[in-house]
Amino acid sequence: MAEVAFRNVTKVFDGDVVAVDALDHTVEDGEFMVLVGPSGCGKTTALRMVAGLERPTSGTIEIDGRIVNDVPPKSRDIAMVFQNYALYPHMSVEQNIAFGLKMHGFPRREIAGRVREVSAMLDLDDLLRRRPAQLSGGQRQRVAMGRALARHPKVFLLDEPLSNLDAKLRAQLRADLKRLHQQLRTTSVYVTHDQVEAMTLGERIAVMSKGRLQQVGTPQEVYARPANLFVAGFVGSPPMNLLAGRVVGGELHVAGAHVGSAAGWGTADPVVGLRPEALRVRRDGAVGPVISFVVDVVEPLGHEVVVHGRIAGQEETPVVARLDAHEEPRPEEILELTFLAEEIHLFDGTSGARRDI
Amino acid sequence: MTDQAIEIPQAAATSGPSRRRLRWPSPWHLVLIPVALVMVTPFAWMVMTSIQTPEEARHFPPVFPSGIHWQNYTEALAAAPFGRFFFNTAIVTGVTVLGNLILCSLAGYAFARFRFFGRDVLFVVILATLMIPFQVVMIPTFLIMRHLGLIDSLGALILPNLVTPFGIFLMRQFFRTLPIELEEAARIDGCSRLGTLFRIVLPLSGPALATLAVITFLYNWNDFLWPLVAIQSEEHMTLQLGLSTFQGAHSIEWTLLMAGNVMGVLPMLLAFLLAQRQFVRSIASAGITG
Repeated sequence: MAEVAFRNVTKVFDGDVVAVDALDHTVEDGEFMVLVGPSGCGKTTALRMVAGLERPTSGTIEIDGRIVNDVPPKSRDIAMVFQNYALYPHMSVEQNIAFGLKMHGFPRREIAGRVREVSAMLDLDDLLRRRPAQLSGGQRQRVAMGRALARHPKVFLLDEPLSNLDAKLRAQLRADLKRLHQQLRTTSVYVTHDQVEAMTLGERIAVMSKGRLQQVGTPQEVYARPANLFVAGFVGSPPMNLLAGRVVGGELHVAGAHVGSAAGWGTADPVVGLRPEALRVRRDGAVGPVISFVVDVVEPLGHEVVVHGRIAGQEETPVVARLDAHEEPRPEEILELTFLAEEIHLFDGTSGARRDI
Repeated sequence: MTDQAIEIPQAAATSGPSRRRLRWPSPWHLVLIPVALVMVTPFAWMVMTSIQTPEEARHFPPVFPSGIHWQNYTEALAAAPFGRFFFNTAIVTGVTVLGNLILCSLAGYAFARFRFFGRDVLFVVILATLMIPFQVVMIPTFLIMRHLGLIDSLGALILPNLVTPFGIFLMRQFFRTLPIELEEAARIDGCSRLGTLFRIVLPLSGPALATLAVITFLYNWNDFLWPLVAIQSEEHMTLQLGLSTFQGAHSIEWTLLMAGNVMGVLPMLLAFLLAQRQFVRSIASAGITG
């Protein structure tokens, strides 16, 4: 059990590529923290610095209160699961799991016990004698987890461990991972570019972009109150609609709809964020802002329909709405959509930062 | 990061001899059969000459031997200390093969995975030495060996060939094709850099190691020019050097020479066949698909 802390960590590659920029972040003891962001955002580099596979250019990394910048990977008491599993092809599953223990000088009996333990936990008993080449993707993934678990490390590092699996297996292993963490409560840092994975797995998620930390919080916090335009656009599927708003005489207008008072905003044009599920079809006589919405594409999902369209008269502004399945909208139909004023998110048009009024 | 599962580079899938099936001749055979004949002819001629009488051997075009004259072999063995030559050659070849496998792996790994000042320049310099013919460095090598007091000893044959630029190049290129995550996993699992090389990288490098071993073996077993320069006493002669004693100034005893040649070639054939089996095994064990 340990806490992992980044203290003002910067990593620069080849003199000018800033992969991680002044990262200040703490993963609490026993927490499942997900680093999420698009590719190239520095999340993997951050993870590799915790593993000791990369050295920070500046700043310090602490594991369990100890600065580990100069500590080699083997002495950090961490275990890592790689995206491509990195199972040793010339060893059996059993040898793969035992290898780290052997290298750390565990007695043979202890090693055998731990192999049994993880093989029971991950249902690997029938695979122990096989080579990685003889395993399916999901089995390899479990062996890679087993190799990490057997070490009883202070910290688990997982680098996109599910991204090579098909969607069904991914969903199943996601649940397995979560169950495993609830059982073991080992501090875990999980890197992914998939925001669904981040939302479902993370106790807290840290959203990164261009080497910088954008927001840290529980999935619900990040979803409900995105700190800036990047987080707003990244978290959520389908993503939040971001529309150009206008403040005229202290009143906020967006997409032709009058939203309400924006006293205290000033005169700069805000960006208005609206989750697809915040939009609904206006019933007769209902009050509130109204948007004229032209339907382009309808995606029925059974319990709801995802409707892609645009605002009437503003052809270049795509909008997505999640509506009740019984609405049955048709392409080229014009719907009157409404929303509650408190469901909008306001962002500064220039800095992109969230501003509440 | 790639989104591919780990794949170990490998040669095309090879099926064992048991799985090989007879197929109808393809047009390729029109090319392959003549080429194979060209390759086999000198070899067959050598074997044939080694069992002929001297009169038959002088005949051109060659004639079939009237019988198998094994005495060529006994006479060749009696004419020169072949046992000694064999032993010397085996020592030189064995040590250089071992030296190349270990030292070229170490150097190749450093060039493949370590970051150090001047690495790329140094590597290019080492590659550049491949372009220098042996004849150019022969005299400097001789002077160095003489300075070390190794001339006319097996050491003079071993030391200059203990590590080769080609071997370093071959191993480096192969190591770079291995997925680096394996080595990172090994480092996290507690391996030192050297431990990673010996426990993870080398066991996966069977094809490259076998190739290097065969090439080093062939080169050193067959080397003639450098032993000719470096060795004077019969006691330290290698096989190729010893065989040359059958080539007198005025006459060549072809039958004895070829009998000696056949004996000299046999270990090479054996080594090649053994290494070939090793090839197949290492490819089979490394066979992994994503």
